[in-house]
Amino acid sequence: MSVYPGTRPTEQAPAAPRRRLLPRALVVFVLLAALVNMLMVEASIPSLYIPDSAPRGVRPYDAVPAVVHVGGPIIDLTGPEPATYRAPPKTIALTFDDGPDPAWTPQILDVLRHHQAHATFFVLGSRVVRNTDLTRRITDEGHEIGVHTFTHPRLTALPAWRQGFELSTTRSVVAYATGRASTLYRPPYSSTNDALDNTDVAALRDTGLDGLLTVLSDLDSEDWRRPGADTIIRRATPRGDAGAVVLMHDAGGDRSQTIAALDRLIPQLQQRGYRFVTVSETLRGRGPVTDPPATTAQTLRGGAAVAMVGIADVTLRLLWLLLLIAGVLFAARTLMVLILAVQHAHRRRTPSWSWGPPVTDPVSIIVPAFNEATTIAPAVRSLALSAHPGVEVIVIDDASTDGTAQVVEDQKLGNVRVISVPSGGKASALNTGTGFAHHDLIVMVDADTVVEPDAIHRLVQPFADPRVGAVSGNVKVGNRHGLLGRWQHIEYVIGFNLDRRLYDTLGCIPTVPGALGAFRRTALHDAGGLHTDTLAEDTDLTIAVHRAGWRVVFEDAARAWTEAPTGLRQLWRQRYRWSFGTMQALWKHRRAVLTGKPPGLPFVVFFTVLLPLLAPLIDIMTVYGAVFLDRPEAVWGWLAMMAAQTVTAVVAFRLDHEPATPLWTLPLQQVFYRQLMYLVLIHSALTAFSGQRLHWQKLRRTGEVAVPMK
Amino acid sequence: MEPYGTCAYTRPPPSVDGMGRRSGRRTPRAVGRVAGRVHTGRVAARVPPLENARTDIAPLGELPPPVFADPGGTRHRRLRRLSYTVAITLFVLLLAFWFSQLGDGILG
Repeated sequence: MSVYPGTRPTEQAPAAPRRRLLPRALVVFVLLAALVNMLMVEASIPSLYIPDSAPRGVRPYDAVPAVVHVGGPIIDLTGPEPATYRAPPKTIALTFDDGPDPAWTPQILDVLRHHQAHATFFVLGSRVVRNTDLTRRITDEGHEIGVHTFTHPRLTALPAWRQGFELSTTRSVVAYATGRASTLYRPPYSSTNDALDNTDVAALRDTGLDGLLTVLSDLDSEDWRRPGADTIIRRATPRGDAGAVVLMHDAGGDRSQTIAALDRLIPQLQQRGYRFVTVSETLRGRGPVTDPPATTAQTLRGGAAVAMVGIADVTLRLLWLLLLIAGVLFAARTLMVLILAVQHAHRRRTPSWSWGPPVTDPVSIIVPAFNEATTIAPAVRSLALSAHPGVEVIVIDDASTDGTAQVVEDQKLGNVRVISVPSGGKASALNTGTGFAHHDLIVMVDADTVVEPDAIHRLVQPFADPRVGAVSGNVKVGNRHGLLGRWQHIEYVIGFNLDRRLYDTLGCIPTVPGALGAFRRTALHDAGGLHTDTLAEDTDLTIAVHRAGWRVVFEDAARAWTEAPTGLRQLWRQRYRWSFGTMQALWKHRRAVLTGKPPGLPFVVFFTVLLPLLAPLIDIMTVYGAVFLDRPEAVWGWLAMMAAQTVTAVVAFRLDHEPATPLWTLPLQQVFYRQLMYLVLIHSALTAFSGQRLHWQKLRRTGEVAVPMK
Repeated sequence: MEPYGTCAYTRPPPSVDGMGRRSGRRTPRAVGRVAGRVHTGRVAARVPPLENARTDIAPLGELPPPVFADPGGTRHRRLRRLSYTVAITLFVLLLAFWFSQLGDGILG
């Protein structure tokens, strides 16, 4: 399709200063980095939950200090000599791991309050950031908070920096939520002292150096196995009058048995004279202070982490919402094209279908041309020799400098006129051609487009219906060699045979293409002619024709063959102009979109602007879900989308009677070409938003489409 | 496109025709094919065929500016400043956040 300079050569706008490219690139980089940061934060939050007491087998433990191996469950390695502590007799330190959980922790707190018992909650930082109020409630009700890492990893398998991050960040978020800087730490996957082995020693010493007491347990209820309340009670009940640190869980699964057991265990042991206290209370008077006030720095760091996770949560929710919208739009479009477009094709191909009496009125064909010497000769010849009575061809030479007019004159075709005009752009050239046209049926064809002999005749047949004001032809790619040519061929076939049929059914064809379109002169007049304030003058005109009350229809049997861009740069320029022009036209006619006149126009906005803008999310979230969230369903979803694309492509090719061979490139098209189109669209949207003026740009022509393909 | 436009128009019949002959004293003749029965009045002037008519540029005055165009560049400047401000703020905040979170873990 042709593009034309819309400005005089001497009035070309200066290119954006190169010195601004670096800041712009940095802005894009920072915005992308912020997005990636949010995604990474979200990806790091889900806790890798494996039951704490999962058996690890017998391992060497000779490096574990003997006093620790056989000592009490509260291990103090902060001083020069290791020390351990046990709960005093008739004292139970209930401990709950892996929370806080908004479903189960409040119920456990209610039971504890009911029985006036206190406990210690070893929390995960990743859960605290999303449950700060619940964390605060724990301490407000007299319980104690300990650290159980941020994401519940097996700490000994992590590098030192990550171990430090896990502990310090969790302490910070606890400090932010409660105002206390807990120094109690329980490593994930721990149980009793005799389960410690040599691999735990380094981590134990590091936590000691950080000033933390490691709290293991005397009794492991193994409630995560859900063995029943009776078993949990039996496992959590100490022998005789012995004190004990009891391990339970308030998150990580269904904790109803834990709650039921707790509700019976506490009164039973209270009747035996037991007290239920926090770990700190078991140390009172004989061990270090374990629950000091938080420092300002800790609180600020915790606040920053909570805020970051909050922002990341909102960002990801927004992305999921947009992805959902994109998915719904994609599914809706797929269903609609498969149902309505196929119905449209079948309806038009039934023997009884007719637009009305044959239209044999003479036709004026306008060919605007700017430097089209390479392509215009076969184009004009194909038009002049059209099998329709009374065809006149008017070539508007828009100040070409390559002898375009002479090339046309050299064809010596009796029904072809050349009118040379000063440079004014394609819309002006078409207006001029309309002024010179003798006939009331006006066909507009690009100078790089070759039509089939009967294309013009078929194109004007819908004018038998007096309500029809404009007709879109079926434009096909003539140079479909190479990947780029095949991808554009696929895109054209789908666009014309599915999307146009869909929009025809909905009564809202947005564009009668400049490559091949017919208009009733009255409709052109009613639409106010072609305007110069958008770069997609064909879309602008088509919507104006709609708004003037005329029907715009698609005639698939009127075929023309156009030359598609052969290089990425050329393609980018063309699509950049198309998408920008389409946005201009839709914005210009936004009232028509909002009022729904023509009624289907909002679908055009949804499917041609909104869906392509959101579609990159499908690919981004697929990669994110598969790689960072370990969600295989993300890949399945993407493959399902690919399958749907393939089905629609096959249907489009069948409707157009095209061999399906080029479809082998469809997967590659989805991976590379589609992304390129997204970038073009985003570029166009940014250009529109910033108010920059986009100019016409001449595409390089090869002239390889000389005759319609067989 | 630039805010100007052009269109071709046919000039009114000149007092001297394109061949330099005076046309006012001669009886004008209709030019072109006449089909069917047409009742016409006295021919007032001789009009050259449309395709041979002299054409000229008719300035159409001020055309609407391109959609989205921001001729003064105010919107562009504001957007640029805003994007720079947002980018710098984001960069500083991200740097400060990760330094505060990882710094304590790594250094402390």
